[in-house]
Amino acid sequence: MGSTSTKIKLRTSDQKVFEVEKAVAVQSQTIKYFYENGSPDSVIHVHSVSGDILSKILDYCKKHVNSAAGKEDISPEELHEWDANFVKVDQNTLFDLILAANFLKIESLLDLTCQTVANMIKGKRPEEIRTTFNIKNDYTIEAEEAVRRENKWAFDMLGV
Amino acid sequence: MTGNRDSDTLTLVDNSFGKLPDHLLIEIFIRLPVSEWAQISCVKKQWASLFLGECLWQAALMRTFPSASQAKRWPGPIPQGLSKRRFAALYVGKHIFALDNDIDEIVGHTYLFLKEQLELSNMPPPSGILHGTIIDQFITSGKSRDVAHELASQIWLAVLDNLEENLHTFLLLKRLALEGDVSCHSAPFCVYCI
Repeated sequence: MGSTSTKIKLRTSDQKVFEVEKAVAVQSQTIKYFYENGSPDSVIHVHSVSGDILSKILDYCKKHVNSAAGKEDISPEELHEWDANFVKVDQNTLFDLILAANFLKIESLLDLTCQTVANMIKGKRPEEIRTTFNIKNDYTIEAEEAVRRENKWAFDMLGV
Repeated sequence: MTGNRDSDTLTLVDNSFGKLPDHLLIEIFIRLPVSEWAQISCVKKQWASLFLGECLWQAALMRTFPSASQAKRWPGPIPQGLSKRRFAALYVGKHIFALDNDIDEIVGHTYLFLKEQLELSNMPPPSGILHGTIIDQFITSGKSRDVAHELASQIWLAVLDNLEENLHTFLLLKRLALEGDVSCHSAPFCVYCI
């Protein structure tokens, strides 16, 4: 029983160090790559992810690893609900999670977070989208009208 | 002064979409229904420009029609085009013809080809030539003559059904009907004239 669980050391952009179970850490394809191609004891520097964000992401990975390995008795519906709660965060955190999921290459988390933002956009008019996300309108009224006309293709070409 | 307010807005912008690179914006957009895409491109110039590029359409193609995205040889007279065109063709195949196999992309391209020929040109080629091109497309794609004719008829009907109601369409239909009178046995309009 020598090799209990191997740990991987991670250092974040704000110099926080995390010691993480290998099975959890390698949910990230980026960490897996660095681990397999570096010396096993070295600290992996996840330089574009902050400690707060990494800690959240590790919670996510742990939950999913445990449920997949049957270590935690959780139904697919419960896991789905857990995911839904996981992304109930402020916008700033949500977009940081997208960036981190992309950098760390965690496909399911990237899908979850991007879908969450997509759902926040769905059914809104351009003006409402701008308000929701504090986006500055760089169109003049005429230009916006022109784009709207040009983009009628979405319906014209597709015949829907 | 507005200076202060501007810098506030800037900080807020950077907290959301402002910090995402294009390929992550695309990841979000392709998770929205196609019917919302016209609205989305009205939000911001940068967003609109993404819908003009190949990257978004390639990503949308791979996500929405994963089985269609592998590169294949494309025989026949009607071109396959780039990702946007392929996406439109597959979308048409699925939503207008309710197809979900390897034939849907060919049917879609054929539909788009015919619709454009009829809608965009002032003097479209005679229906017999258009019909022949469609049949050729299906036969070079390995369909039997019977299947090719059956599909071609379906495509004619669907296109005529979806033409915008305007003077151009009226004149077009009149012309097609006249052509049909002359060569009803070969043109597809025997079906339409009924």
